[in-house]
Amino acid sequence: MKKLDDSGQMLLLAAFAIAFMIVVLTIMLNNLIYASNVASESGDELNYYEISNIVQLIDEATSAAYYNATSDGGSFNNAAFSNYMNTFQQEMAILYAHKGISFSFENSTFNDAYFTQNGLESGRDNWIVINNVKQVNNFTIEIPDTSKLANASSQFEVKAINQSGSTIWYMKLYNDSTSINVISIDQNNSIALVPYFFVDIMNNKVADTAFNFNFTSRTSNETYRIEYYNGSSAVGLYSISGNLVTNETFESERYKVINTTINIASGENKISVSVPVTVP
Amino acid sequence: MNIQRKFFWKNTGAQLNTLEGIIAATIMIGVLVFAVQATSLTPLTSSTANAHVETQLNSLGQDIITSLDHSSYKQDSDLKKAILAWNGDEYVWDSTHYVSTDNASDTLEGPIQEILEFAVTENGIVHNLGYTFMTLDGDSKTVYYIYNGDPSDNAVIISRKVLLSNTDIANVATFENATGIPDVDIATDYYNIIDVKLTMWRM
Repeated sequence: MKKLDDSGQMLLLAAFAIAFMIVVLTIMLNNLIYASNVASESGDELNYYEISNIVQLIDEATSAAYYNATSDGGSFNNAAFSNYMNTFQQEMAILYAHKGISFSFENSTFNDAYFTQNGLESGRDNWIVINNVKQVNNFTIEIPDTSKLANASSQFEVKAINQSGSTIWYMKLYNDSTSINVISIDQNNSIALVPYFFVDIMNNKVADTAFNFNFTSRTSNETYRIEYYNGSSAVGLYSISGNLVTNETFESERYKVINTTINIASGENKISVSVPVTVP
Repeated sequence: MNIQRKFFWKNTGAQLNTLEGIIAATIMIGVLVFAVQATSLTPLTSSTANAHVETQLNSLGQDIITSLDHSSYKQDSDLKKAILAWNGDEYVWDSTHYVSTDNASDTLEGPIQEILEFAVTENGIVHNLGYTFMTLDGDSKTVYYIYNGDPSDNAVIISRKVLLSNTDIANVATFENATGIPDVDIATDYYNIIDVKLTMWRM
């Protein structure tokens, strides 16, 4: 019987198998590199940086338009406000049209603001108004409608807290239906219920009545932050100005809040978001 | 002896084995050559032309522009202050300072100079900082705050828009003459929107 010698054929078969395996591995490696390069390429759609930029621009534009409408000290000039915002919207629409994106926004009417972080009743109740304060020069709070001031179970509080976390000064306001109660770290007082209520902390006044807040003496030589608590318990205006520990001046004011709805549409995506903007 | 000689010359099994071995080796070598030539691992794969490098530059640029445009308590950001204080000069990096092309003794100072020197120039990243705005004709125009040359094909552009109002500017006429940025609506307090574009690329 003839002895079969197929070792050479086995060698050839093995060579074909190894060659096929190498080709498959090469194709897989190519696809891997190609896919990772394609994934890292950026598209032309709006990214989250641009959206945050748009929100910031609308906030600044609303503040600037409000300032323009109230700069003469008289009543609110609605025409000046509207003209500014219309020009702003037109220019923004042109800028984004160059990128193939449709842009528009709508403003609601101005509303009285709560003392929450975003000015809405549903906003954060407890929040830091100013951080790293060295000195306060002006601090006033106005309540145009005292009927919206909450009762004793949910008092609106203002606190100055130092870097150790200790409360070095506080003030609490609440309406017990017959009087407005003001509780400070050194004095308590009740004012007969009036529709409009005004507090001037640095000048030690509550509704034209002298009141010993002692804010300056309590906060001297301290670095502190000013916080609001139960901000949804009160509706009104505030104005704080002074110096930070970096010797920079700061100014934080709030008179009104307006709801802005921003609409952005591209070929593939559409975004509609409502953002509360506080003024000034 | 004759039988051994005949056996030697008529036995072709070994020759076939050898031939099959050579062919197998040739197939292996050919496949290896094909595999090396076909892969995407080119000399430029991990160089400045790589998409990952562009992504890193984009992230760096976004961080720079976002931090420059950050403002606390509704104050003007460092980026806005720099635009408002701009005298219209174009600056170029001379390996130690940003020097004005019009006045060699005028060097750039401020938050923009500090952050670009720290994050960009020390890492060998070339950059331009330009301001694009709308003109009175409705066209867009770009002027350069920092210009270091024409960017390469793999450059990244990061943009951030800054709003200017008339009340932000100390002297509107002086600002417009110096920078060329016009007031597009003189009937309102609106001045213009500046599209700040930071272009970065690696040499």
